[in-house]
Amino acid sequence: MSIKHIFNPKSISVIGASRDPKSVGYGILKNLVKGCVLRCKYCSPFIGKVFAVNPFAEEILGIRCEKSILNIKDKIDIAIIATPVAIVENQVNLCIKKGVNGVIIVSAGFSEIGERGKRLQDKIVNRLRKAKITLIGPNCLGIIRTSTHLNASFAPSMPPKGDIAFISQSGALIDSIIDWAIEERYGLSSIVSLGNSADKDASDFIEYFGKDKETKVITVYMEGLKDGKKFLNVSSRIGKKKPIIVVKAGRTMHGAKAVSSHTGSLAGDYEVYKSAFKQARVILTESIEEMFDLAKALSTQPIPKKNSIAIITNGGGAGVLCADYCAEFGVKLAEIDKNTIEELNKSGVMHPSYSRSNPLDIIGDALPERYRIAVDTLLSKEYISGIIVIQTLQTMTDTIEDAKIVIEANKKYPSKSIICTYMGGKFTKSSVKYLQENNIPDYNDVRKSAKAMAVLVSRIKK
Amino acid sequence: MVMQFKESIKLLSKYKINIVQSKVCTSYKEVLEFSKNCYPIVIKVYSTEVVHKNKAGLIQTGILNENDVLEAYKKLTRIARNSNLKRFEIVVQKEIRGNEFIIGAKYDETFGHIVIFGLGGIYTEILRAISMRVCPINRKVAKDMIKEIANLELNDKSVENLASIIMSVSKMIEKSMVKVIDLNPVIVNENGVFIVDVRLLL
Repeated sequence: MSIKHIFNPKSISVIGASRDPKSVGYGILKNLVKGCVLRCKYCSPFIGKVFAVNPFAEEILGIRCEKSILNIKDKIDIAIIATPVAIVENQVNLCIKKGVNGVIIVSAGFSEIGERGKRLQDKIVNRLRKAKITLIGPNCLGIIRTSTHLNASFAPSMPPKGDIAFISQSGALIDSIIDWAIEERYGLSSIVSLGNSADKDASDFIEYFGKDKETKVITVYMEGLKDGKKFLNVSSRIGKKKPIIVVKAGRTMHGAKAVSSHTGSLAGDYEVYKSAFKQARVILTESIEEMFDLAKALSTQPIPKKNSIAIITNGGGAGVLCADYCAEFGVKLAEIDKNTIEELNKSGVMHPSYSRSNPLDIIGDALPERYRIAVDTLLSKEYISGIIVIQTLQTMTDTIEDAKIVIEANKKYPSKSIICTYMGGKFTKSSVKYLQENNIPDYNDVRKSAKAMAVLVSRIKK
Repeated sequence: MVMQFKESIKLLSKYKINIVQSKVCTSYKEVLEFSKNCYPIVIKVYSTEVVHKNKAGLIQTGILNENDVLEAYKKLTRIARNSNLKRFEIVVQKEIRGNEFIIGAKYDETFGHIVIFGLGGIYTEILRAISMRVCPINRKVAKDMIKEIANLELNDKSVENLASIIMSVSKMIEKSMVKVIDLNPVIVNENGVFIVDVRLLL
């Protein structure tokens, strides 16, 4: 069975469902039947059927417990095993007998603890492969699919639904990223915790998400690769259609083995990763935040037709800074032509000393109407493929109205890329939230905005 | 393990990688013989026991006449003996000046064979200005690697020559038993591209 079945199950069984609210087996079941342990507006119970296996309990969270998966009459698509390691093998055998499509092993105590655990893991993998059942884990957090409210993991909450798939070699990281995603509105389609990658590795999931209709951008937290050639092969193929963004841990470990030659010391581990990723068109970021910042832009905004961008700002400083970053990251600023200036002049709302060039500084006292004219005029021009809109907070600034203008422009010009920096904090928060909810990426610093525009520009087909 | 000079040259030539005219000499006389018509020259001591010749003081440059040869020869054999080298080869070459580059290759446990191209000489370790690719490498990729590092300083012919060497190195690291290839420096000047020093690790 393929990964596809794992992400689109109709029924799921929790083996090792527990009555103890502090246990993993309880958390997973609660996530599935109640819609997460820590509730937020994105949490809902799983839309499919949920079953529980625990030979010692009658009922947990309103779900009747069966003594064994074999006692369940219904067909089970995936089984999630969260039992003590000692009985995992036996439970796997029962799952094979039951004929499930996929198994997620959350339990730890396998290859990560050494040779003995590795032997047990290999045995389980071989048996499942022979039965053609996909395995995720062991020693993993589980999986999440937002479209069906599937939280088959012990992650305490659910992220907003969106088009970003996240593949993680760390489980714990996922928990906090979800919390972060709720706050920053990173929209996710799926999350998978690889655990020990005993059966499927990151490349297999990239392959799957490459075809997945619910995913536009693939993000990966990576510690190491077992098969680099496979990864390059898959990524260079999938990366043409969908951006793949990776953050790689272990940057500072250099290839100590080969320092006796220049090539050896120059081509340290991280340098090789960097070059290989570049060759495969994988986008490598330096931090998790940057990875999701870029993923947000790529998943919500169109790729500009040309590298010809304009900056609109009500603050000179922020505009110049942004222009510097644009130059640094390879974003070309369009030259605003005479006709456009003429049009802006005629509108009658421009300040007499507005910049008449790119960045288009519409001056600090800009009211929403001036933003509207500037945004609309520039976006209507064929030679401008995208805009970065900067708002600094002045006494007369109407941040919500300014946000509304951009949201409307985004609808009116769906082929143009829009990135915002509504700078501030306490008094800007609500407009930023408003922008984000309407799929317009907003970053608190112009450097991030320039970088986001740069990643969009980098995807222009040459 | 460092491969002997003579063997290295032989193996490299199989992959059409030719280093500048060099002679392994067993005596001072032989050095003089070689140098007669090609001053300035360089004398180096190769040994499988030495990885960094320069650091060990085993390279003498700027040798302009017979007197210099004698002085350099004495100095090198003394250092070689003082370093307790069991076996070593004395190699004499015409001295070549120009822009220095490095071309190298190694096996990476994750991605397989890789090739690097970068600034050579004293800049290699300081600037770490290198481009790197996973093998196999075709001419287009090889040229991209060169352009990433040295777009302006090289004429078309030099770029083609360097690209050929990069491709040969890519082939050699994939096909031979060698684990690491260092061509450093590879010198480019108005007369062409010259591989001046090599180090192969087994």
